[in-house]
Amino acid sequence: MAQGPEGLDPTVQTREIAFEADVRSVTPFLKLATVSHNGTAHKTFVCDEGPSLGGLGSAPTPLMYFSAALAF
Amino acid sequence: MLKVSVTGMRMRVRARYRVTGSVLNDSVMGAMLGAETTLEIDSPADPAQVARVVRNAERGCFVMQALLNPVPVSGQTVLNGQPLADPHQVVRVMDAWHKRVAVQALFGELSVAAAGETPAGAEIETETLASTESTQ
Repeated sequence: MAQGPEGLDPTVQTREIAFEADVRSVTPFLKLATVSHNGTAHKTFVCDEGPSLGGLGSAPTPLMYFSAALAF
Repeated sequence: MLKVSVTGMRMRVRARYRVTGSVLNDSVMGAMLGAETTLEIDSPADPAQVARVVRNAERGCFVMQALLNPVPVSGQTVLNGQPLADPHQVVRVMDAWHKRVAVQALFGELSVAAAGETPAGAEIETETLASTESTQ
């Protein structure tokens, strides 16, 4: 039988997961985040605010990421 | 605006989670265990003014407040265009009163609100569903 993904192994009953985010500001509202999963698999993405708050509207806002995370 | 000059900002977050059970065994349950943050600010401003900015930023942060003050979260599934009546799908990270409101809103009158697995540390009542049928 083909072996499935490690994360779906039913014999593993508990998994500890830690995400570490390193966020730096580029402008007051434009921020660059690098997030790792248990110290590996680093991903980098950006967020911004809209002009109504003084941002550039150049990237999703934090709340957009947060709201969409429920569906991801 | 508070007009506090901030020349640089870096924030580090460590967010910890645990998942128990198994998807294949229909027993999976995820939980957030906690988070630690470190905020580094470069600013020539008075530290008291910087502290005020940080205080306001945290109070105004929707994500921070959502974590510190859990809110009612309800969910429903539409299967092939029809509501899928499964009260066990209602997100349970809420107190008993909010669970009852959410379940009743989604599934109509139920004699008992909601039940099942609860996240570690969540101080909510554990009740058993008497019915899984929608009255809608």
